[in-house]
Amino acid sequence: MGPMETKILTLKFFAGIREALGMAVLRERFGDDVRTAGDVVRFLESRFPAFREAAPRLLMAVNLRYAHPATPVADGDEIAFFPPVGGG
Amino acid sequence: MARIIAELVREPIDAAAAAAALGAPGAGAVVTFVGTVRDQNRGRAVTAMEYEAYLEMARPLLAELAAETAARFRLEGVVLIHRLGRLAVGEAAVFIGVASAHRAEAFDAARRLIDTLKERVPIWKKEHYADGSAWIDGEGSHGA
Repeated sequence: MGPMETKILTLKFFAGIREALGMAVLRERFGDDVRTAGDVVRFLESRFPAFREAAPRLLMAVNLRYAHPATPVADGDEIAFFPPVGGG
Repeated sequence: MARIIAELVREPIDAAAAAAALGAPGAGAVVTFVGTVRDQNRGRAVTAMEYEAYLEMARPLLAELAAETAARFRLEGVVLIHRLGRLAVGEAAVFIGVASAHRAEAFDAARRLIDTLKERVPIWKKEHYADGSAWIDGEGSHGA
């Protein structure tokens, strides 16, 4: 077995979830076990209680496009998490 | 080709200048909508409103919304401006202007622009009160 494949993802948080976590950006290295946006959600839920609490309501985007838990993620991707949008 | 302007700005919106930017001599109808900060919500006195956006995602979505609406309603012009940052009560948060040959399309297009903007574009608002603040959850639940 060679070394585990790793990917570095940029995770961004906006509005209420940004404030609840106390951070806007997190750059994190992941292994082979993280392949989808849903895997990233599970990582964040296990790491941050505030994320776990908010998660059911959050939307996400992968590389600036709305995404769902099955959306694949790859090295260098930007994944954003935010509450339901509503400007105006 | 319709004249299209779609912007996220931090400075106050000049509604007269924005309407003038529609500049469509072939249009028989111009509809403008200005969304302003209200002084109360759900029974609480609001002192200011703060708008935040995911800029890299919101900018292209705003431009796409303007272009797609212009094509669908055969508009002569579309101006779509959303302000970000902290706004005082009464200030304009959003300006929508459409110019078209006839009024029905102009009203329908303006309505669709504000409704879809609220549903799709990643912008959030936080209300400030005399004794605190709260994020206001939007209705936008998907990117369709």
